[in-house]
Amino acid sequence: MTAKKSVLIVAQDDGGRLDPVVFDTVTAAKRLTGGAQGGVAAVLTGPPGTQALAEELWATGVADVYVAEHAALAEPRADSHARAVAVAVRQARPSLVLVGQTLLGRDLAPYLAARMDAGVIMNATELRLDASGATEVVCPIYGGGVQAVYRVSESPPSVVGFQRTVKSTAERVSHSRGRVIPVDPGLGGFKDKVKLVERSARSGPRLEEANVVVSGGMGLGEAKNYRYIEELAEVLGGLPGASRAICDLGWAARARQVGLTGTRVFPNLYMAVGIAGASQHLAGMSTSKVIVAVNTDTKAPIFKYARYGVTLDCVEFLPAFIAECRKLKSHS
Amino acid sequence: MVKIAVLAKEVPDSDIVDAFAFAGRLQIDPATKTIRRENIAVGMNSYDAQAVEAAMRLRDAGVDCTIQVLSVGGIAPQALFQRSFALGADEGYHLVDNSFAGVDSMGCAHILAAAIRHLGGADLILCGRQGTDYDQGVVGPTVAALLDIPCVSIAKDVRLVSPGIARVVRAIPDGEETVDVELPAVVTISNELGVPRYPTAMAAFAARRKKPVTLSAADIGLDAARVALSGERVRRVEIDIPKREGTCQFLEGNSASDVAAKLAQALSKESVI
Ligand SMILES: Cc1cc2nc3c(=O)[nH]c(=O)nc-3n(C[C@H](O)[C@H](O)[C@H](O)COP(=O)(O)OP(=O)(O)OC[C@H]3O[C@@H](n4cnc5c(N)ncnc54)[C@H](O)[C@@H]3O)c2cc1C
Ligand SMILES: Cc1cc2nc3c(=O)[nH]c(=O)nc-3n(C[C@H](O)[C@H](O)[C@H](O)COP(=O)(O)OP(=O)(O)OC[C@H]3O[C@@H](n4cnc5c(N)ncnc54)[C@H](O)[C@@H]3O)c2cc1C
Repeated sequence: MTAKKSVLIVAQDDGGRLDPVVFDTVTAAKRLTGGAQGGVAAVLTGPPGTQALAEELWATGVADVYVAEHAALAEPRADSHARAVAVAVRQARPSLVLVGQTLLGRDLAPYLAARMDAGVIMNATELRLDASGATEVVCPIYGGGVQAVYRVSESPPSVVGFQRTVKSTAERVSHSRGRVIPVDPGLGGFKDKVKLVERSARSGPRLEEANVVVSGGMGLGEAKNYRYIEELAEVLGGLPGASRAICDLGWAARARQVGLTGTRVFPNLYMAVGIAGASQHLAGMSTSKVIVAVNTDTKAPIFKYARYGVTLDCVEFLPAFIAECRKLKSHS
Repeated sequence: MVKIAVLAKEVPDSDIVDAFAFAGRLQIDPATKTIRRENIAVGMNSYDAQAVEAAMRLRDAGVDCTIQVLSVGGIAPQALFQRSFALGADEGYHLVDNSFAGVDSMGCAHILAAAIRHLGGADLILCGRQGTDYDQGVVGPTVAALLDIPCVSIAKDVRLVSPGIARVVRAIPDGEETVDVELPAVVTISNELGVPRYPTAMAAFAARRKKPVTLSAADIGLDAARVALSGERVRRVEIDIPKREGTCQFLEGNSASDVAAKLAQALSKESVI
């Protein structure tokens, strides 16, 4: 199949701006379509006023932005948003629909595929063309220990869930105004069967934006030692992270979890302290610039990813390293 | 009486897969584009065991319910059903058909949605947030869309607060989100729900005599061509185990402070601290 590729990106908002994963999807879509004119379009769904985000998309070079606005789209629910996106897909007629894997995106992609009676595949990290010109999607499986490539059909367009793989930011490549194409989301009689009772508010700096992340795992031995992780993170001007194992035990708050089912981080420095390096943990941090591992087991998988390794008992090492960093910081 | 359907999948033990991959012992079957499973134990997907647990907690909370467990395929599904029965599941349905070979997540959702319809529907459909093998998380929301009912994902707590309404606490990146969802609904369970209980030896023994009902595509009124179609739309064409060459520089010294000083120096040279 060598027909012209066109990608429709389902762009999602994140508190009044585009979610950063949108920029990853734009980059991947441009690569797939070879930068062809009009090859990449986007759809925005949300309450009245959502259209304002179109400017951020135009700046990335995406000229055509379908916009579906409706009061019922104020809450991030897959059912309503998938209905609105499905209308845009029928108008845009892309060969592929690309959905960034936000909390909403994870549910929206399968919902949308079911509505469109199309194929769906999640966790993509790369889109490419095979020798015959068919679209291929690269997805890690088994937590990232294995990599699979899927060939996806284009008619009806397959829905591909895409993960954030790099710390990308909006790169302005265009200064021209694109188009807004209004879409009727068809939510006239729609009744949301999910009602919000309460939601924790986003607070404080975010793990995924941190330049330094210091994470602790089971090797800390007991809950109280997590304070060393917090202290070191603070001294280094970073944020504390954790393995799932210690979040499950309540040593660290759930929001600290780094990995496949936690947050994906992209810091300049990642310190894995008492963490084995299971593929599901690596999935969330292996693209960090410099990785330091502190682990008493010289054969721990994490050392294959680390630039620097320390094989001391972490409870002994951490206070010494904190003191050293304090010294360094006070001199600078 | 509330009807609860739990969707449960058999998967290879993910810790063993990980250990094998790391040790370079994981092998690929080029014909099926899957990993070779000969020496890898299989069992119930861990999130699905937690879905069974969520159902049991509802029963413990006094909800008058029947609990059905549905599973498609698998190489040794008896273990999955026996564990479910031992925990208190009332009915088990094993979906098998030659036409199911090679199904993808979408096809699997079609099979499960058809089976649920065939069994007269369910008030609450509990499943795992994702399979620990393909990590897709597609089946739950897709089943919901196919049955035209709502789906609440990544739940850590599920309660019935009034007839026809479930209160679900979701584990979201910022903390928690609590929602009320109208039944029937699909709820996908995450590990934050907590450790699932183990069956007592006596219950496990008694469960050995219980067998799941086997259902084919024809039994549930499912068009085999429909299932095959989704297998063609998303086809795995390659599978590979990424190799990792370690280049770690181990820092050594006479004392913890000595090593700490070396590390601080190295990181400062890299300009990352
Ligand atoms: C579908 C799925 C999703 C998952 N998602 C995630 C995820 O998002 N994030 C995540 O982290 N995990 C996730 N996991 C779990 C993952 O597989 C591992 O179980 C987990 O990461 C292990 O945590 P750990 O390394 O802290 O613990 P362990 O595996 O117990 O490792 C502890 C390490 O500490 C070392 N150690 C022991 N004592 C000391 C000491 N005194 N000083 C220094 N080192 C010491 C040991 O040598 C060992 O390497 C997921 C699993 C599945 C199946
Ligand atoms: C008979 C059979 C043959 C297969 N053949 C192939 C093949 O040739 N090639 C290939 O690539 N893959 C094959 N698969 C695997 C298949 O692609 C997926 O594993 C399956 O469709 C489920 O999707 P998932 O793992 O993405 O589930 P997810 O969407 O990640 O699962 C989420 C939840 O849905 C429920 N669920 C998922 N699968 C099942 C199930 N089977 N039964 C009951 N509940 C379930 C569970 O609650 C699970 O926690 C086969 C699977 C089966 C059952």
